[in-house]
Amino acid sequence: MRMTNRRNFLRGLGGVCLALPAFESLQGAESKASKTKRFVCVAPNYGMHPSGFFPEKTGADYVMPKLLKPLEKHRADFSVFNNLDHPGVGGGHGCSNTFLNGMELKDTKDQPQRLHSLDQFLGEQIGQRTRFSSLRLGAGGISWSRAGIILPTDSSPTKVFAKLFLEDNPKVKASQRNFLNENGSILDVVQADAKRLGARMAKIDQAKLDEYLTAVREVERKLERQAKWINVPKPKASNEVIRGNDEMVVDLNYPYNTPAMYDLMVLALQTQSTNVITFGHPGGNRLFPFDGIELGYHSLTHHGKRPDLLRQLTIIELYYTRQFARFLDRMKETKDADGRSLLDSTVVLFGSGMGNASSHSSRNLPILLAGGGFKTGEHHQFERNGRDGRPLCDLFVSVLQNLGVETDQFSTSKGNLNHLIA
Amino acid sequence: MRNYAAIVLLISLPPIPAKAVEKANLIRPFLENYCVQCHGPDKQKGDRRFDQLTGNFAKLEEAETFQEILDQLNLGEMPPEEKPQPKVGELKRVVGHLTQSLARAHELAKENSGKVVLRRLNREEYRNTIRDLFDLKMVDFDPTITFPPDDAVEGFDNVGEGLVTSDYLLSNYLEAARKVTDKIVRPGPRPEIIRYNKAVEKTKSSLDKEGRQAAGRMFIKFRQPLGLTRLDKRRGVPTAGEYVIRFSARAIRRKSRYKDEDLRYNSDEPMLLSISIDSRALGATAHRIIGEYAIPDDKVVTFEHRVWLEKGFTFHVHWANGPNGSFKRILRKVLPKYNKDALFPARNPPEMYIGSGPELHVYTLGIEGPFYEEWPLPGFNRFFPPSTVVPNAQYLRSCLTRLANAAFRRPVTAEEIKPYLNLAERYFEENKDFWAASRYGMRAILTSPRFLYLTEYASHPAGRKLDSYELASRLSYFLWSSMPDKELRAAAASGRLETPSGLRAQVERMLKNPLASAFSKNFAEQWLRLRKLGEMPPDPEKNRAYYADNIENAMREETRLYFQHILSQNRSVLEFIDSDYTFLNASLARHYNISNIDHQEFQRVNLQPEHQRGGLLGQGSILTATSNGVETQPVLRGVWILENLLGTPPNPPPPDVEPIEPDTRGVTTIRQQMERHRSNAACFECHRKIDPLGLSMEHYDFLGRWRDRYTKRLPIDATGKMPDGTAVNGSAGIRSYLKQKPDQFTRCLTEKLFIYALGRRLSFTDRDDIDRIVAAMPKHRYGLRELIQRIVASEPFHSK
Repeated sequence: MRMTNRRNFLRGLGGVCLALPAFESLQGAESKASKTKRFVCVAPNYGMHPSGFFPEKTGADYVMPKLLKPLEKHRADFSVFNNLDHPGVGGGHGCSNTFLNGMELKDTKDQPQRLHSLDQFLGEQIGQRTRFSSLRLGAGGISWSRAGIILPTDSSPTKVFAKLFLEDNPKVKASQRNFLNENGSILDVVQADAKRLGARMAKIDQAKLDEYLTAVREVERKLERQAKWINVPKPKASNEVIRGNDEMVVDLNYPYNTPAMYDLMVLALQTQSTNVITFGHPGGNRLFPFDGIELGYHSLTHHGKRPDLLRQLTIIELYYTRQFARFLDRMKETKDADGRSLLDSTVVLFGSGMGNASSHSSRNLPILLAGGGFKTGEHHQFERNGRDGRPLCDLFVSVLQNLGVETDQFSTSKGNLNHLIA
Repeated sequence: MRNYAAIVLLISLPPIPAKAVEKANLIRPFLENYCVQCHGPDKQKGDRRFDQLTGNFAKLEEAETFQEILDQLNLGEMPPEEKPQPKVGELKRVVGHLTQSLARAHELAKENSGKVVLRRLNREEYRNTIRDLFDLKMVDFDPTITFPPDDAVEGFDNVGEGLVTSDYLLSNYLEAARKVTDKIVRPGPRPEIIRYNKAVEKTKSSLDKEGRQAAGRMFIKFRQPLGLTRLDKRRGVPTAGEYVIRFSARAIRRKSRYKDEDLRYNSDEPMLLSISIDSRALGATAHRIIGEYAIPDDKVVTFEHRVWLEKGFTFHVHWANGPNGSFKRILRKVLPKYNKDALFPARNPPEMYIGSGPELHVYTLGIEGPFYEEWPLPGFNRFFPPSTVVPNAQYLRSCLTRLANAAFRRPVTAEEIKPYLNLAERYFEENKDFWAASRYGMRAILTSPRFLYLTEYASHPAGRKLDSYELASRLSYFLWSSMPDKELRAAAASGRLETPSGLRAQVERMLKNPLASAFSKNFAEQWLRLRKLGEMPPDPEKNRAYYADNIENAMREETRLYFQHILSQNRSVLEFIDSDYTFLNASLARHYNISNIDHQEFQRVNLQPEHQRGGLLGQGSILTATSNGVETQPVLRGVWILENLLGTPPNPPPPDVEPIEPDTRGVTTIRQQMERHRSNAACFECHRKIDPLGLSMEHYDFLGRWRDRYTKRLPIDATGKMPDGTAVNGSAGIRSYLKQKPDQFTRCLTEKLFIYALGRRLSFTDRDDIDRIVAAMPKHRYGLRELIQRIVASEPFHSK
């Protein structure tokens, strides 16, 4: 597919999205033999406190900072990035949600398609041959559809397991098939009616109806896709991942269901159920059930530099990195269908749209990159230019290219980081 | 010097229209003298610059800027008090001139702005519309449960601009339509009544083995549920309808030899039996307690409880206040203390305990139903009235047309309905299943843009005026968050809505109707930003009473009742600022430390000055929603007052200003923390308006309780100075400050009501209508109902 068409489309054609890309033409053509096939993003909503996250020295011999100590054994397999952020994105709580699209929400009022997030874009590009074009897990708010809507997530391990591995019985499947057909015809009728309606309306209303028409076309496309997959049996997996066994107890409530979610992610990748996964750690003022925690999470992020509050916040953030380290273990141990470790063939991004939560800053985001055959093991620090560091989307472009997507631009990128990591 | 130059200009130029000359002499020098130093080429405070204004009011951006300037002059906020002030006469002339010019500019601009963008039903409106279209009980049925949340614009989630339709939402609409039509279409005779019962004879003595066993089967062991096995095995009731649950029970040995602390039980309370309902299909979220009954001691009483159950629901009874903890614990830990034969820690047989402690015995338990007031159900009957012929294509067409007329909220033409009818008819021809074809046609109608959007055509002959049906829809979604009822529809059809008295009468009727509670809830909650109450819950360990007494709900209820009262009694909206009453129950009164209130239900309570409350600013809901569950946040509270009571929201922090990371080590009070706002000029611009308001509220803690001091050693300093120089002290000071600006508050409330009523942002052209409404309120004692009547009567409400 020509790069220019796609690029124009990515930038938006000014105004409401008018045409869908021809995905059908993507299938069956590998753009280049890409070794990396998958993408995983783990995103804590409130970021990681900077003094515990960023190493002091750059290069490969940095002293592992407090929050990254659990990752010491994986030192060679990941890199830390310092001074990456999204230009133009303000602080506050909204910045956590635009981690994967680099946009300031109020700047996109007339062009919601600019909110299309990296993971959903990848779902279109590398996720069309799997049952699920993407899996969105944990807390939501970071995945945005092409229409600029935040997409919902699954946070229950049992539901995710059922979605991935449990077959519906034949009666249910039969009624699903009927339903898909019926809906297709309903959509034909309402689509024609909307066009008729639009002819009698003012211009500003026609734009809203266009939104409806776009939604209709998208649903039709998805219905066709669903109809194809209904007849394909799901892969099998042991339900120990959600039930536990003699050695392992599985707790299905957050935060203790985090290992189970990570295990489900590994299984999903291994069974090729999906190639794109996002997993969010929620914000909120939850009282974490860990020893030593006495205040809600949100209150702790506003520590005001008080040592006791920072100590408690560190307990929570260490839990994130410990679980992430365990995930990297599992990714290294598990082989994919080609016999390579999952980590080799998967780009793993750990980061947040929130920089320093204590000041609600969206500057200097905590970013870790692992796997995907990238050159890793270093701490890279970029220069700051006034308010902005290096655009995080430059990293996203490197990720996209690594995954075989022919593009040299994404959202607010100005270049890429291939010289450092490819 | 300047005047001389102006005179010279006058002489040398060709004749200039008098007004332009006036402008040159009046506005420009005024701006130069009092505004441009801070809002000019050198500095642009608050991002505003005035030296380049040309005075051409026909340009929208200029007119908007001049409107802002006029507002600030009228409010007395500009020039700031420490800068040189214009003389009174000078100010009056400038204000007068600007007011006139802007009024003319409004007229010109009306053609081009202030249009309502096509607005879809939001989630709640969709749900209510389904409820009213089909007369459904929505108690355990919510077709919108997986819908994505709606975006809010200007704080309201019914503004067209923010209501986007995504493919995800559309898939949800398709699925919801399927669920709704499956539920509605119930042809055929009334379903058979099922009866499940279980009973034990009460004549057997509880001492012999059989008697004990029988009692054991039916005695509720502490917190374990007791139900009907046959009902549970059948996966609940076979069909939705009203059911009657009957049971008889007796409390035995409420006071026994066991001490309360050992049993973790309060023997002073009468035993309570509660009924819960569950659905296996829906899981834990469907579990609800539907009733609680006090069971008298040593007497068998029978109770009956009627409840609407959805298909698949079952019920159980519980001993709501029985001993806490497990039966095993009683046998292993408690029994040995009282019975020397009991072996500790080995297992003891239950018989050693049964017959000695408190027990709640149930003798009969049963369920019967379904019952219906009318059959066929009204929602079904309305669109599929009984027909003498076997259902055929013609009947299908007439029923679906009837539905479309109701669902599309206006008479539908044959042209318009044809595709939907064809779809259903084709299905009927192919499958010969009449009811499946009906459901199919209904699903298409419920997915149509004519149902999902409030369609307002631009083609009315008189320009942008709405027709009666469009007006009726706008009115019902404003006051009921739902579709017009039969009477409103009839008023539209007959033309009564086009007359001022007809319209007024409808508004009165609608406000009196219970459906108007949707207005109280949706408007008030969003105006007062109470939806986020509960997002930052306080620590459960340190605030037990808050949870045990359900204070969060109580606080919400206080505000809801307060708003409802002002609405239903047409009381002055100024009572939102201050009054001498509120609505409390015993728990909330305890929370506020107001004594002598012991009624558990909410009642109106008169407030005394020592209670330190009155109006919205004394209500816990707002005070808690503007805190973070740990401490107060004066900036949030100040912004809240500016946005929602004064109507002058501050600018958001500029994106290129990096927020300072707060360093609160060693700082003792929040006022000290906020001193930083004063030392930084960029921050001070806005914080001079925000901080005094927020800091004056510091006597209310993060849960809205009054505190005289922070700690024994730290007093609270609740004084402050507003930008116009007024000194304020405490919340009483803020209330009197606000009461001195009744028109400003009324305007703020009117603006919010406008946004909610029209479903769009305010535009420049609404100023005149809002001005007229605000000016009229004093002679109507600022009554809230009157305010709503005037908004409905205003031109923007009748225009596209």
